[in-house]
Amino acid sequence: MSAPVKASSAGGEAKVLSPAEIAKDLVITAIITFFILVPIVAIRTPLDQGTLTWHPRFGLAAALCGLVVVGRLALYLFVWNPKAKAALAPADASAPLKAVKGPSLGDRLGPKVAPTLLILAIALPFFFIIIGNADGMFPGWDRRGIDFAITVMLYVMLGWGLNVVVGLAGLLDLGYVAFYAVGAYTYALMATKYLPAWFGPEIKPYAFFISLPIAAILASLWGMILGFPVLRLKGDYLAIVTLAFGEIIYQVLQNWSVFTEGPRGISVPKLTFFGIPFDKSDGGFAATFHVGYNRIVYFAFLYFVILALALLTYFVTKKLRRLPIGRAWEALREDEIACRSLGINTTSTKLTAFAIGAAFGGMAGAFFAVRQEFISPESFKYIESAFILAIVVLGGLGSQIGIVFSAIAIIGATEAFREMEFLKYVLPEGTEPVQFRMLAVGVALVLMMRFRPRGFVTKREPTVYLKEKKAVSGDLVAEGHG
Amino acid sequence: MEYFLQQLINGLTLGSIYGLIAIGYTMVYGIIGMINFAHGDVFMVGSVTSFILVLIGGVSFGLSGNSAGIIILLALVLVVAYAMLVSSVYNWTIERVAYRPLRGSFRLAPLISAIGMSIVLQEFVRIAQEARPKPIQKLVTGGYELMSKQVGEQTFAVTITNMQIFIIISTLVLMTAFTFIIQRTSLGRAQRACEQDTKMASLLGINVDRTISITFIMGAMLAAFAGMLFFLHYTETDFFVGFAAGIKAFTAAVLGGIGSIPGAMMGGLLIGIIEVMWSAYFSVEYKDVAAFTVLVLVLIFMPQGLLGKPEVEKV
Amino acid sequence: MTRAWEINPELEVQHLTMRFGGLTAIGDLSFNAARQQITALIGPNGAGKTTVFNCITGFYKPTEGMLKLNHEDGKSFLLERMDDFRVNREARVARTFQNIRLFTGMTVVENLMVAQHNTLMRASTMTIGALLGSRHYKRVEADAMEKSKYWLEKVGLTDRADDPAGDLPYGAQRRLEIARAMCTEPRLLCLDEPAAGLNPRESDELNKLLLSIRDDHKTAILLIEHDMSVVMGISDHVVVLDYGRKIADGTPGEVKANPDVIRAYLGVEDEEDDAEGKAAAAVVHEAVDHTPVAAAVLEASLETPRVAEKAPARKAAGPELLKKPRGKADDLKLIWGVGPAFEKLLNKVGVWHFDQVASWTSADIDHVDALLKGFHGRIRRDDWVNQAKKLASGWRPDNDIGERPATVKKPAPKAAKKGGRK
Repeated sequence: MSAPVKASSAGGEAKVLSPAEIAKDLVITAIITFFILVPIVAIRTPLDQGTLTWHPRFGLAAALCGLVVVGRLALYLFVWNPKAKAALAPADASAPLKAVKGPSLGDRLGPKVAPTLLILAIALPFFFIIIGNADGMFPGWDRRGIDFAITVMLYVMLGWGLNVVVGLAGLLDLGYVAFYAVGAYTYALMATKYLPAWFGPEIKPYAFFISLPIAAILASLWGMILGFPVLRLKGDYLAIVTLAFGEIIYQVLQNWSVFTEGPRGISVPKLTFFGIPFDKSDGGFAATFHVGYNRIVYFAFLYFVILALALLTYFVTKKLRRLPIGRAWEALREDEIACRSLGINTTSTKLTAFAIGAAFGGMAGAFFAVRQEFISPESFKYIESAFILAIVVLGGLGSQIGIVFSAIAIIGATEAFREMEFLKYVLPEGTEPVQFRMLAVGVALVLMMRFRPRGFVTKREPTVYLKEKKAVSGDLVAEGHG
Repeated sequence: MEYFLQQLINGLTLGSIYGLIAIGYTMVYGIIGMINFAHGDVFMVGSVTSFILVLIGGVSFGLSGNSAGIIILLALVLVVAYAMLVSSVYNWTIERVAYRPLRGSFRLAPLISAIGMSIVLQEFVRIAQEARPKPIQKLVTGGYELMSKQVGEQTFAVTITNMQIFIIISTLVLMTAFTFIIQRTSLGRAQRACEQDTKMASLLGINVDRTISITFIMGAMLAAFAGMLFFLHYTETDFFVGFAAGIKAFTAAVLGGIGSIPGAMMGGLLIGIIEVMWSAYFSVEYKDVAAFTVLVLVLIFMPQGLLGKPEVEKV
Repeated sequence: MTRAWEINPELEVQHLTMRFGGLTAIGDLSFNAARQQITALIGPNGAGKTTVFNCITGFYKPTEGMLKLNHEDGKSFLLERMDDFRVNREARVARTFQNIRLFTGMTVVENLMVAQHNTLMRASTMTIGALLGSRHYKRVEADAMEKSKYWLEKVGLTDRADDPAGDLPYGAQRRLEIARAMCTEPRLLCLDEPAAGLNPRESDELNKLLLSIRDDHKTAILLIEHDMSVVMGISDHVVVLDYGRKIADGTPGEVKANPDVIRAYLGVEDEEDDAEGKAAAAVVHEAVDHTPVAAAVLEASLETPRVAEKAPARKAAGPELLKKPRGKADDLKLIWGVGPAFEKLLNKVGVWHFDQVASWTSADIDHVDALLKGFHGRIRRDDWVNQAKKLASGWRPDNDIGERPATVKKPAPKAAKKGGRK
């Protein structure tokens, strides 16, 4: 089933090349790089007094070209060279063939990692408040730190939700953001239009907690409506149809202005402490609980809400895996035909995976809306689906803990791009470091598939055992046919 | 009736472009059985490249819609030749870097890699060329009035612009050349052999890697051509044009029957016509929705497409 | 003599026909499988055995015919009208696959638990009950675990219970697949070459296992097998297929003695027949995919002049046959369905021209069919006569392999491509 990736002929890793051959290869590399860079990078097309004009940027192109050639030469010298390989890495870890099979970093995590993470997650906001308050070591970092933690947790939840569909059931869903959008708009419209209209304005503070289950139900309904016709499709087809569905939802959000306010977006009310607002008023959180007013309390509460939602996702998924439905998902990923021969209704099994994944996406969407306090269709583009997929893939398809690490890594890297001011001196004019965020995600997807297609955590935990629990090596686990 | 005729002409024009992109999808699917997700973005690279070259021509060499016809034609030939070269290099590199090492890996691997590559291309061009749409004045102007009709105060004329003639004729020429290559040359035979059975083809001495590379290059050339036509037709391009056009072209490939080249062209024309008619008679806003809905409907009700072969599940 | 499978059969297959485009994989096949007996379905490669299985288990919808499963309690099911998963869930037919399909990334015991999905699913009350920790579900799950243990013991895999199924050796994977199928509590168990790739000892164990399934679990078994020691050793009833048709049906002893079977499958009378058999097989293959290999085998076999000698002798009764072409022979390959190997055969029996083919009556076709072993209705199916009529009048097809008649659709594409990519 999983023949290891054949040592690629592209880089000639398999055989030793003579210096002349390497030189020839480098010349070809230079030529190819030339066409890749000219004219896309080598020519700028800025606006000059209202009309487009062009400026050459050959220096940059030449530098990049040189970088690629030197990089490839370095690879020849230090990585693809058998002597260097032996000297550098006795474990032979650099060969892609071995890399596929070797135990990954994530696999060495012990059984205690999940509880440790949980404790860390609960302690995190307090930590940020201590180090980041006005007298702390890093003033101002409390807000930033918690914000970052909220973002990570939101994507962890989305990753766990998508993991049900992609990681467990093996169905590649590129339209996951559609359910996220359904959840977000459910809350936005409920809070601003429907709930006040039905029950009067005094319902508003409770809107989020009322909308949350509705968002989950509506999203999973959409999951089933969209899923039902397309689940007969396989692999690539399913991927592209879900992508098309995601785009349809996006277009509808854009254009159905009467209902969704279109590109103008909707402002939504803030989260409350189960009805008690976080403000300085007499009925506010501070007054009610007799604590001093501090904005950070609101952010900490937001964090705990998303933590709770994420944990719900985690534990429900973990439990479902051990129930017949979860086992059927995994069996489906392994071999659909065998499933059908055992009397498993594959359509309804897939549909439940879609619906449950969508429900989590919907709840995450509702949280996203309440956190942003404003939503517009721009937040629900295809690229967002790809971003979530990247988190799941990087974490290791099917692995819940891996997703936590990959979410931290990817979002951390994104934030790091924002922070790296020094990059501005290296980068071509007119570009910001943060623009490289999605580029890096794309590169990461390609590289992961090539060198570590099973992600951080490759081992699979069995759901039931007779005598002892032995993890299943990732090489045996099928990633589904789509 | 006149209105309908006009829309039909517009639809055929747009459809030709989709058809050209669709061939790239269908060929790659035929030979390695995966959707080259980045194909739409290769089309975009062709489009942006030809935009840059036309811009240089305009700013530095005075190329404009008023230039002599022969000069414009010559310039376009040069532009498209270079754009084809660039796109081919891109698609070749993509295959080398992102797909070839994954042959034999699990089924989702090349697909995810392709999605990654598509993001890389979009972001690369966005960063290098900025996100703003790139407008340019019309290069091919003029046209012919086919018929006109007086409706009250207004005259409604059915026209076909020179641009449309250019698009339709060049598509026809390319298609013919292409069909010839696939049907009559040893290269085409090798491609068809790989399509049937890659392993067997390699046992029979066909260089499968090379054949696949060439398939990617051919697809990229057609996409680049389509990219230039697209940009000339809309007189605007940006880093994101490959996304929607890519899905629609894929729809065209599926509609025609994936793996079938005439099918791809036919599907392209149909999608073009559907999109234009939808915009003309229903709503412009939902034209993409219409195209995507067609995709969903076709996949559900007619997964083998118009000219494709039905697949029997191997148990 | 009354036979068990005629009185009260578990499975009745009646007039089953399965066509893939122009290719008839099974033609009008009828047989029964008796309750609590082992029925073996044998025949040379490509005889359509697996296709019969796929029809019975709902993976293919037969073109024609009826597949009826009768439970002991009087319920009966028309399998051809049921979805594949319902065939297992309701009609209780389980199967294994020729190229083992285990859930390789799941452990052995997980494989067996997945097989009890429907029982567990019912007990989990839409999953919600189980999610909330219902007692009933826990009890059912414990029972399911017991049943898994029982089958693990039975197939000797208790020690490997917590290992991934993909890590098991080949023979153990085969046994696990049978255990997994048995966990669905089938009334009819369909085994597709269970002994393939097993060593004699394993094969012996398999026999014991199958007999125990038949006797202790009162389950009917339908078995595709090439290993004659298994077939003859344990089966109660043997059905022989050749080119999608039944050529024999009876007890192992009867089948062994049947001359048709001996010729087609079990053995050969002499070398000449063997060559002929190969030629016939090659011809069929060639007509399907025009492989040059088939032509080569055929060439070797045609060294025996037997067919050509016989042909003129029957001339009076049959169609017009010529020793030599009248002038230049027509290119018979232009008829769709005729390749180089068929053309040679036709020439040997004395068919050289389109008008000869065009003039065939129905009786003539039967005659030629009989004369050329391996055609098996091909002449009618591809409508050679009408093709030849057109060709005789000067019409030529567009491509060099002849044109398919309008009624014949393209054969189904090879699935090999799909499998290779997995």
